[in-house]
Amino acid sequence: MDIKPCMRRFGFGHRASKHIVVEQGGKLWLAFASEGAGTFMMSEDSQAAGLFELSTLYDGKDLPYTYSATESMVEITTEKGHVRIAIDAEAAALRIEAEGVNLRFDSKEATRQLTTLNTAKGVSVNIGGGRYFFVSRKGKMAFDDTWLLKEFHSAVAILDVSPENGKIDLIAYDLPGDMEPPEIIKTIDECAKINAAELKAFNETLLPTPAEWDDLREKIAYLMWLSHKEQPSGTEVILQNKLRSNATTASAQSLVSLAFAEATTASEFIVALPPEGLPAQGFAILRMFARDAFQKVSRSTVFKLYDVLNMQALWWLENRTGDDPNLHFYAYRHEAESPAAKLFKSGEPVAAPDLNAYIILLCEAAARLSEHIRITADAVKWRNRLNLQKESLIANLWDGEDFHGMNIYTGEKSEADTPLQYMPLILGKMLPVGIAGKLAEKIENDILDYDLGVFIVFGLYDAGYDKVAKRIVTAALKQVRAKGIHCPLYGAQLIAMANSVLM
Amino acid sequence: MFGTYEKFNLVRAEYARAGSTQYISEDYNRPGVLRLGGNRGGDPVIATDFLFDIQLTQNGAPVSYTYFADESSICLDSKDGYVEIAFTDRAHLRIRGDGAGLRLVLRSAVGGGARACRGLYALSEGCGWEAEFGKYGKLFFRPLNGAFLPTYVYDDAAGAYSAVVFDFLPDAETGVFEAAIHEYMKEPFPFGEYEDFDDLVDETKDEFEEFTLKYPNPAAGYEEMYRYAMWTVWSRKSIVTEGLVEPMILFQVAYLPVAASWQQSYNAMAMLEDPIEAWRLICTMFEYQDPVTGRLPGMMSYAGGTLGMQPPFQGFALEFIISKIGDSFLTPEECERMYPKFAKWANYWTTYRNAGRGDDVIEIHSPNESGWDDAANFKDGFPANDPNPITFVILMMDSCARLARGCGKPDEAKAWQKRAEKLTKILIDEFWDGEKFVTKVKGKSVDSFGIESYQPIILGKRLPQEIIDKVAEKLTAEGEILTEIGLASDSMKSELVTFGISFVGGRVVGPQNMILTVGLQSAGKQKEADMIARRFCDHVKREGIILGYAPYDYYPLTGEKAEEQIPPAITDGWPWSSWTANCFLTMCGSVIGK
Repeated sequence: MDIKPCMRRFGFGHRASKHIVVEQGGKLWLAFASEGAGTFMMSEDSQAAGLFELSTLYDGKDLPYTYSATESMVEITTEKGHVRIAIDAEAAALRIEAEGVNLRFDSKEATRQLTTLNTAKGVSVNIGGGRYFFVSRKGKMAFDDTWLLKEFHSAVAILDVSPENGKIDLIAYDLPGDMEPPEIIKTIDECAKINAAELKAFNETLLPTPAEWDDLREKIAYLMWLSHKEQPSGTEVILQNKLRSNATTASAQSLVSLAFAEATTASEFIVALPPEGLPAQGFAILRMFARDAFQKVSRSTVFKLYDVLNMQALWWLENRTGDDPNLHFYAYRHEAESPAAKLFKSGEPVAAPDLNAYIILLCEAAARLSEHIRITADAVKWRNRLNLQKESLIANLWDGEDFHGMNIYTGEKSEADTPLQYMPLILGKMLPVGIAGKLAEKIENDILDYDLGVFIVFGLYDAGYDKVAKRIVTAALKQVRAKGIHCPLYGAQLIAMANSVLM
Repeated sequence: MFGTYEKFNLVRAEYARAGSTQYISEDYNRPGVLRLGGNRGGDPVIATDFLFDIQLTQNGAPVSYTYFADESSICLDSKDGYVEIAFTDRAHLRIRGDGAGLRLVLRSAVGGGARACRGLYALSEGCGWEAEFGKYGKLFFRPLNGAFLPTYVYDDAAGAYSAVVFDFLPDAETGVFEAAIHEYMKEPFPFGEYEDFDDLVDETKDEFEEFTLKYPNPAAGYEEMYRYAMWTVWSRKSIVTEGLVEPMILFQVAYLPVAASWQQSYNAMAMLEDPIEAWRLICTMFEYQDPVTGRLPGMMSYAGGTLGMQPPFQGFALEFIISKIGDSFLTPEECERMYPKFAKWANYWTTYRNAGRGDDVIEIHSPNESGWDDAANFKDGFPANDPNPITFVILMMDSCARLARGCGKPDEAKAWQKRAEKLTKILIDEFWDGEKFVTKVKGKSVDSFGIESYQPIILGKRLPQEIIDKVAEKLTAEGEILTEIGLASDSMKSELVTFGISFVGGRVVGPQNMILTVGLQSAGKQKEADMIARRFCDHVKREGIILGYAPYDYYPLTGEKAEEQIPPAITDGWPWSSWTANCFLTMCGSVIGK
């Protein structure tokens, strides 16, 4: 699969590796996934794409190159020779083989403020608490590790590698500070083959989608697979962009979970992070019920999901209800997905239609889970609460035409605001037909331009507006096919919608 | 202690309190304007968005004020009124005013305006307002008397607040107000009844006085500065969080709020009247020891995270404390608890930093591992066989021997003893060139004149007398390393000396003066130790508790003027730091003759 369109924004990488090869200005850079950690001395902002710019040289001169990239290999072509790059996830290494050319890895300003060391075993570049460690199995390395005494760091890191009998075989390790580099067992081709197979297997864990969108599905699968990050707890999350930021939220992981066929896998994402922020978990769990996916989920997993819902429900009840315990509010702008929304014109704290819809779904999901694990009394309580909340949502926030926000203290209503005014559609058939119908007829295709769009589309479909839902999803898929995917999380949602709505 | 008309103000010192994450500093660029900040987010005061201008208001308009701060509160005075602020160690500060109000204006240090604010709202019970600041946490504003008025403007296009202002207003009739501001990350610290403001002030005073009892009396003539130094250490005591599981002493409050590994041991050395607390501080970093390699992190902060590595200073600190007050605090249980950890840390160096000669000689890979970031003896690069970390490893080995004995492991104690003696012999045979200890890179001695060449004096009487005498001679030769204000980090005869932004590139720094004077003292050179310590401590009395000082305003080697200005930056030449404070305390409390 050609991943070249992804190379600038997301790069070439591997689920289990920090190594990423990314393109900037026609050249490739070796980079690391963002760790979000600082350095002792304040570094200046770097505009570099990564840690090392890769150049090919011949006779001491820079040699232009072109490249191709698939999910398993990057191949560089010059008029004198070529280079191949693959990821050896087992060894936490980048494998680089070249023939006919010299290689230069130039950090330019990217590694200012760091220490480097040229040792008999290899070249070490300290990155935060770890090391970028180059070892040559074939080829001669030249590296200046001069310590710039008055500048508190080493000379700018430039590694030159010249071929041995025309060939270079270089390993770039990602190592913790004191670890010896692990043994290399596989060839570069074996690594590429394994990685391709891993991605294929990952693709198969996603929900089925119509064959006409297979090309898009492959690309989404690659981005989702690449963007995995293991947390210190051992759980994995999928990031928006592994290169740029390691930040994510529990609600984002709930959206990610939508794409997985296997409910246990989906559940792992839902519980991967502490349940804070937007209570999207209920929505995600109900999607699993809709697919009848809970049959094979273990009781312990179900209990974990139930705990998450309990914690979320309790938090919003204790911290974000006013006089009406069935109406919840955003205390701050930035608690909402859209802090600049017209919703907030009536002043905080604001009872918002989207928030209350999430919590209604949370109650429904909790009721379904309690039935699943046979805590019937709890199910009754959750349904009672759900019904009261639905009444309160409609009584307070529906004006006959639109949903609005409302200042909890003054009762002042805010203007209807796209897409938040449509969010109660996520209640599907729980929303009265008259209300759902009024909302459905106003929705445009571009609803999916909004981060919350996927919720609305699912709601439309569940409420019986399948034609509208299909129209929107098809339009979104076409747009992504034309313009590319901007985020693996969005890609996950597209897969989920294509499965639910188009199959 | 600090004030508009006092010898020291808050431009370079940072006003804080033990167990609080909040601080007040004076804006260098706008003299007379105090700013309230918090250090949980980890950003320094010069680069944070979470900073409030403190304004005194009368009839709603800001008025100019002077201020005075002591350990218990800071008072802002104007002609017709005053406001007083007292920090607590219970995640809140208290404010009171009479004839004036207090205004806090959120103003980023880096042109970000009010973007740190992510929202605010009035709690339904009418008890106050909560404001959220993302990674910096939350503030809860609770008026106790008088009124509270927030003003905030959201810029939809920018997606951020453009203005956030909090006003505490006096009661219209009485003219007074009182309030509390709570700070927390997620869940609020429960509030309820607040103690009387005067009682709070008295309690804080008492707490500080209690803290001062951890230190021996200072040498005569240093009493006042000793108190400043004790306050500096006390006020940098951290809270306990996920990142810092035990209270530690932060390096600085506003510029670099980190708990540096070896600095905890520096602090311990000064607390001779409380060996339990001293020992606790030495042991704190072992909470984060890598279970596989034994490595200790270089620094910890509220955000967790660890960067680099610092020398194994713990053995030196422990030996010093025991030499002064004995080892009764090292119970068999404590020895049992800490011996494996000390052993693992010592073996970390001889394993992962082994020079590959088949013995315990180590090499370091960066200057941070010696503690001296820009020392001249590293001008030939790395890996370097540097006598200073080797010396610290020797003292770690001796400490391991002591702890092993203390928990009934005499054979292991003997083995450590033997290793320490062998390494000492190698240090003397291979790293002493007749004049100084040398750093070696690729077997070649580095040609440098820095003070680090004499640091192995901390081995005291383990060294032959001729080495002790030579070191003492070198350190007391005027115009070389010895300056009028103490030992410079590099010889004034070196071409590499700089008094600009540097750590040990030529400035006179507290830690080196403390280490060398303690070393001289332990080697029997009390007169020399006393003289040097006095020079340094006298300068601290004049200039305040800064990490490093330029000894001259010209370079003695060339006669050239030393033009470099030290700006308000995370640099050792600007803010007050607990590191020089603890060094001052050790020198005044234990080195300078009484």
